[in-house]
Amino acid sequence: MKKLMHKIFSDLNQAVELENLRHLKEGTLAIPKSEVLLFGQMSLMLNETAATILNLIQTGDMDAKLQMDYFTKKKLLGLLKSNGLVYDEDSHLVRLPDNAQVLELFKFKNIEVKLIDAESTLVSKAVHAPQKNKQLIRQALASGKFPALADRIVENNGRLDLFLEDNNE
Amino acid sequence: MNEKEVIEKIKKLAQQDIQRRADPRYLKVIGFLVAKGFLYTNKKIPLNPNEHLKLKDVIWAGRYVEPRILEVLPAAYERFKKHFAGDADAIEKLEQIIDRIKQKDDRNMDFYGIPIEKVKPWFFIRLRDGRSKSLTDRKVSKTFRFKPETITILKNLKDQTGLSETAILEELITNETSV
Repeated sequence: MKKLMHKIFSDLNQAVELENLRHLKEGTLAIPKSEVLLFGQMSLMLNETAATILNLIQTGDMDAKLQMDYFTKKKLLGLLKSNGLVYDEDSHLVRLPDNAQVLELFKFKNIEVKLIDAESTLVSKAVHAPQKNKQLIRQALASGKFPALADRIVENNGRLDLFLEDNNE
Repeated sequence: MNEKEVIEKIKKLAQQDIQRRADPRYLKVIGFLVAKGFLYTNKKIPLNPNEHLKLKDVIWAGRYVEPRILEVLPAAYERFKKHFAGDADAIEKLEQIIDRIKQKDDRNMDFYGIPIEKVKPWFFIRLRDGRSKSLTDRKVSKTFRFKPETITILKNLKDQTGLSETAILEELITNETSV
């Protein structure tokens, strides 16, 4: 997934670069630098520490906060589509817990790609989508590699007892 | 139960989750869905693009191991029907949600607790095999009756351009509508 995302953002950077050259020739303003902040399952997948500890499965969904102009966003959506991925337009609804840290992932001339730290992503999942992430949160808690996870779930009004529910076969 | 006891119980359930992730039913399902491009994983697993799956195994894997399986199952079933077998009840549930999506009916509906809007995007993605078409890319057959001279012109255009008759007609229509 990291290789694929690097390729997508590298191609996007190149497309912006070419468009900026055109703008320069025409004497118009260059496209401002873009910023992408990834969260959700994709940010876990791209976080090397989390990906070593956890068994991750994801759909082609990309949750992210995008700071970019129309041209760049349109290009990005096209690149995602041609690689079987989809940008989740409801990404603005994702709520991040307090003290979430932002980590750098890729830095190109025209785009910076960052992600939310793994523990904060897990807190967000545990609080806002516990059913869908039950097994993932149990694995993260059991691993002992996210020492503040349980406390942060409770601090953010999540319920640990929800992870005791198991649909008995 | 205090927090420490809850965590202890969660750890026991996490052990059960490990066993379930090693279950052949789960491995078969995930191996198929990852191979086709519906799901991605960070661990190496055997990929089985030609696997034939029992719907009850897929639903078991979605309910007890990985809920994202249920999110992509209707789209996977719609694109690769021949790879799935199951009882009438499971097939009916799938057909209902597929019809709703094909008819662009936005009324609330869920598939084993997964809302329709979470299921829908996977009907339109480009898959790894590059062969199976998404709902928007799929061609629909339609019959027309042309005059013999129109057929001759179409055949001549086909010989001159090397394009198929369908491609020639589609290009003419696209050019006409884009003016």
